[in-house]
Amino acid sequence: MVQFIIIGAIIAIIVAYLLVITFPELAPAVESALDALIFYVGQAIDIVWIFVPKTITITLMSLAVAVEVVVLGYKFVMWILRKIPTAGIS
Amino acid sequence: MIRFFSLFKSLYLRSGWIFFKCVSPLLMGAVLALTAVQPLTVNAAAGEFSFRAFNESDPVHSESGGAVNLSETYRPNQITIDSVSVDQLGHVDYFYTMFFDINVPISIYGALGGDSGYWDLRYSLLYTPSYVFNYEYKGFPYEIYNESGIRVDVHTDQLNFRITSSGENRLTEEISSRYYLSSSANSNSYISNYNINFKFQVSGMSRNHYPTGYVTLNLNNMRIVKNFARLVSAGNIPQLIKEVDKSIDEGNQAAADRWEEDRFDAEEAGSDMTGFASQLDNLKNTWSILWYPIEFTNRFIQVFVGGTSAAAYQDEFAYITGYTYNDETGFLEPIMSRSVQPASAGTGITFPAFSLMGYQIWDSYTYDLSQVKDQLPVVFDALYVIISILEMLWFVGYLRKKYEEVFG
Repeated sequence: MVQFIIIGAIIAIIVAYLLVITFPELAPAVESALDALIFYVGQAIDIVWIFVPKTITITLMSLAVAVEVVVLGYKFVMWILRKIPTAGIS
Repeated sequence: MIRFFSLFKSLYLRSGWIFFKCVSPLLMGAVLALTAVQPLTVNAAAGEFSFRAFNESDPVHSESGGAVNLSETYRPNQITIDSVSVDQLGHVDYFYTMFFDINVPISIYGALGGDSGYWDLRYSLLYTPSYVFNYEYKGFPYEIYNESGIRVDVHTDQLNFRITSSGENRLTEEISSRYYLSSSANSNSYISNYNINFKFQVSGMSRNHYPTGYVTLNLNNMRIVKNFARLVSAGNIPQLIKEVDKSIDEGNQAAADRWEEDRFDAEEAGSDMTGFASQLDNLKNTWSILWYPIEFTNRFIQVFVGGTSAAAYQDEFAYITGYTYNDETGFLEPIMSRSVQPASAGTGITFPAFSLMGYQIWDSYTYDLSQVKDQLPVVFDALYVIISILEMLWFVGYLRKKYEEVFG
């Protein structure tokens, strides 16, 4: 029972801190610039897809992103395992 | 003859008017409406309707042919209609069913001896609804008990069913049966009481037109007449309607109470949820900068894949032809146009107009690059093949590089 009370109190404190924290808003100038970037990307990508096969390009890019995520996950897991001396992983 | 029918019609209409005054169609409609929502059967109390059997010529003695003079030993008894119920049939607005449960107790004097006897029972149903539709009739005597409650061995070999006359406003049906008493079942009884029970139902009648007729029983010429209209109007139906109305009111009140309670609970829950949602909104607003990169990436990917034809792009940049820098605000402000569709402008290359010393050398011209693809399909197919091969080679090299990166 005591454990639950302590855990609940910790959660309440964390939540209270999170609610209190206020991050600054994104600058409107930056936001307008990013909107313009998205707009011109859309204009430009139409021309790109005229000369580049869209289907195979999107597929390969998606696979590349997936491989990248797997590799990063693998590295992260191995980084944790190396911290365990008894695991014997160097 | 015509005057006779006119008189009959007038009497019939007047009786119908009185009848509907006694039984309010609105109340009956309420009952039937309730049964439409929830199948409901209302039953009259047993013994509420009763009348005495009689013989017009000789209430006590009457001769009839047959192996046993049952009519001589027949004593008029009270006939009870144990129950009358109303139920829906099909569309409740138009049709309903009435169930009749009738008991005919009879007493027989004298020994039947070792020989079997029989009696004839014939009953007919005459009713005059103004509209007959889908008429259905089910009725038969099916059990006979003696005074000790022992079922008497009775069987019948005649079961006739016929419609004696029919018309738009009149329908007469008659069913007759001959019943046999076996000697073994009642060999020593001198005085026996029997109870003939039969049930029948009349269905498919309009709700506004109750059967107004007679049930006639003929037991070896002992006529038993039951007024059908009185059965319905003067008896239990108004009382049943009151009971049903009461149950409706109670049900409505209970439903209203439940609804009020649910509404209160819902309001409380809604208030709590509103407060919680407000807190979440505040949290989202104050932390919006944290997930803006995710939002931007999502927008970028959608536009990268779909270009100007992507739904997200068209929703956000409809009628925008470009952006211009505002020196005062420092913002990139969109240039709005009501005539340019961004979806068709993505592959267009615009050559601006050129003027020299006040003379316009050439006008503005927009060339759509996608036309090249249609004009040179073979070239573009070859280009796609070459680029696909290059991309595959790149991807294989990428995989090889990642393998070496991970596994050394």
